[in-house]
Amino acid sequence: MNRSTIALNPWEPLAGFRNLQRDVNRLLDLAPAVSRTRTFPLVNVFANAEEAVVVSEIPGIDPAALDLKLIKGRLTISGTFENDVPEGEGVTCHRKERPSGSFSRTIDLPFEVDEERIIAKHDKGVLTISLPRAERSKPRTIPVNAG
Amino acid sequence: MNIQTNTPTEQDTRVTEPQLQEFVPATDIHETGDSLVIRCDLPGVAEEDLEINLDNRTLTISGRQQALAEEGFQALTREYPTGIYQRSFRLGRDLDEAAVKARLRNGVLEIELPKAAATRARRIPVES
Repeated sequence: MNRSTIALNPWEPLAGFRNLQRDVNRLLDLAPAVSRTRTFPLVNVFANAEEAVVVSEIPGIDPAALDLKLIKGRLTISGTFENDVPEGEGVTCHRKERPSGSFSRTIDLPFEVDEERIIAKHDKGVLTISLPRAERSKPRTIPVNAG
Repeated sequence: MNIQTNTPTEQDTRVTEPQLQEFVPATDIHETGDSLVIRCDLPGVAEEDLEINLDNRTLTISGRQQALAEEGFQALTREYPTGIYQRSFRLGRDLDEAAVKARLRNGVLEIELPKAAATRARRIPVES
C-alpha cells in the first residue's frame, strides 16, 4: 500500500464548511460596521490617577438632545436622533444605515468622580466626557511607623 | 475639505500608513424631486482630513479620524478602534456633477447632487 498517495489526499469532511465560513466572513467585512452591533453608542474608557475619560462616537446628534446622568458611580448616556430624512411625496429612500431613534447606555466608572468638575463636549460627532477623580477616592500612601 | 472633480484618486496617504484600519461609514441615501442626498457618519473626521473625489460618476469619500491622545492614560474599555473611513458610490447619469455640494457638520457628511435639469421632476400645468 502506498501511504504517500493517501497522505496527499487527506479526507477533509469540514472543508466545505470552512469555505462557507470564509465567504460569510468576507460578506460581514463588507457590511457597514454599525449593523454588526446592537449596542449603541460604543464607548472607549481611559483613566489615569487624576481622571477618567469616556469617549463615544455619536455623529449627527444635536448636543442639546444628549442626556448625561451620573447615578451611584455609573454614567448613563442617552439621547434621541432627529429624523433628518424629509417625508412626503416625491422622496425616495435608497439606503438607511445610520442609527435612528432613541438610545441609552450605562457604564461603570472605575472610581468615584467629582461631580462638580465633570466636563462633557460633543465635537465632530464625538462625545468626550472628562470625569476628574474625587479627592477622597485617590490612592494615598500610608506611612508605616517603626514600633 | 477638498472636493475634486475629474482628477485621479490620490491613494498615496493610504499606502504609507498601512497600520490604520479602514471602515465603511454608515450611510443614508435619499432622493427628492430635485436632488440626491448622501449622508455618511464620519465621527472624529475634521474637514482638513476629508477628501471627496468625483470622477467618471464614481464618488469616493475618504476621511481620517482624529484619535484621542492617549499618552498618560490606560485604556480600560476599548469597544471601537479609530482609523480611516472609505466608501465609493456609483452615481447615475442624471445628476449634475458640477453642482455637487458637500458639508460636514456634527460628524456627518452631507453630499447633495442636484439632478440634471432634463431629469428633474416637473409639474406640468394643464391649460384649460
